[in-house]
Amino acid sequence: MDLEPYRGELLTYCYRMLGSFHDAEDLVQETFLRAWRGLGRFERRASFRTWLYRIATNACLNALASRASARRVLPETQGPPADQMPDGGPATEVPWLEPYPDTALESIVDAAPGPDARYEMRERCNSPSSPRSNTSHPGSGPCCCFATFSAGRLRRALGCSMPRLHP
Amino acid sequence: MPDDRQRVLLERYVRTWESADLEGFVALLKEDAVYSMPPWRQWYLGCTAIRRFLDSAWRSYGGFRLVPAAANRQPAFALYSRRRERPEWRAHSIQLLALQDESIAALTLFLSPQVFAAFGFPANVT
Repeated sequence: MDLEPYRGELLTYCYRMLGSFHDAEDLVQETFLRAWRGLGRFERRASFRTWLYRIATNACLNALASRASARRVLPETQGPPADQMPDGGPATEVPWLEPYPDTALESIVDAAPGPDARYEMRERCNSPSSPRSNTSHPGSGPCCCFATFSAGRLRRALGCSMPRLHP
Repeated sequence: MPDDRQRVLLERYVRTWESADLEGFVALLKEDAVYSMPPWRQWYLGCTAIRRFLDSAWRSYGGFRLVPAAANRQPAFALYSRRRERPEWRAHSIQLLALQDESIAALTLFLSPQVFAAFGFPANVT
């Protein structure tokens, strides 16, 4: 099973959860590793893409849970503006938001497994994804969102939904 | 913003950095522009504060060169700098701009080497 065609879209997906391209690369590698190991357990109740996104989601949620503060931030949201030159050195311990290179969007493969192929993405901020189910259940966490894309529009959708860094 | 006006703005922007034209740069900013440079906590609000900061910060550099890039669907640049005493160009930061009404509303310089590496630009240029 060749996972490479999914790398581009998974990078974008993991970046949206983690706020760092570097972290996204690590998590996509981990997702592929888990997928390889778990291929024997893939029961085809969901599409392969759905299954892959579930692995990626869980991997990202675990990574976020292991950090002291999950959300990456920009300086302008962390305190008032400065009126002096900086002193004391950079705050490298803070998880700062990082930009996503647009060149990486070009690698997203326009996969088209069939006109009825759909996948579901479920993002939950506060709890791991529920057991396998193809129906959509709005989660109980305070910030849950649900998106459904048909496979053929994936690339355009991901490109358009790339979060602007500045609001 | 229409593409050609954005392009003109960005060309002016590049010229102000590469010629160390501080007044020219400040003239491109919105009155309440935001400037930040993670991993530094400090950020600056407004033309006056940003001008004061850069006036001091630019003194230790011998020059800047900007290479166009793009990030998060916003205009961006890879910034190379060199010190007065040394001729070689070194990776300085990835700059990300938010443009609004033919001005710059926000400028963020990402100083972390891992960010620069993510964009695939070389770290040193001779």
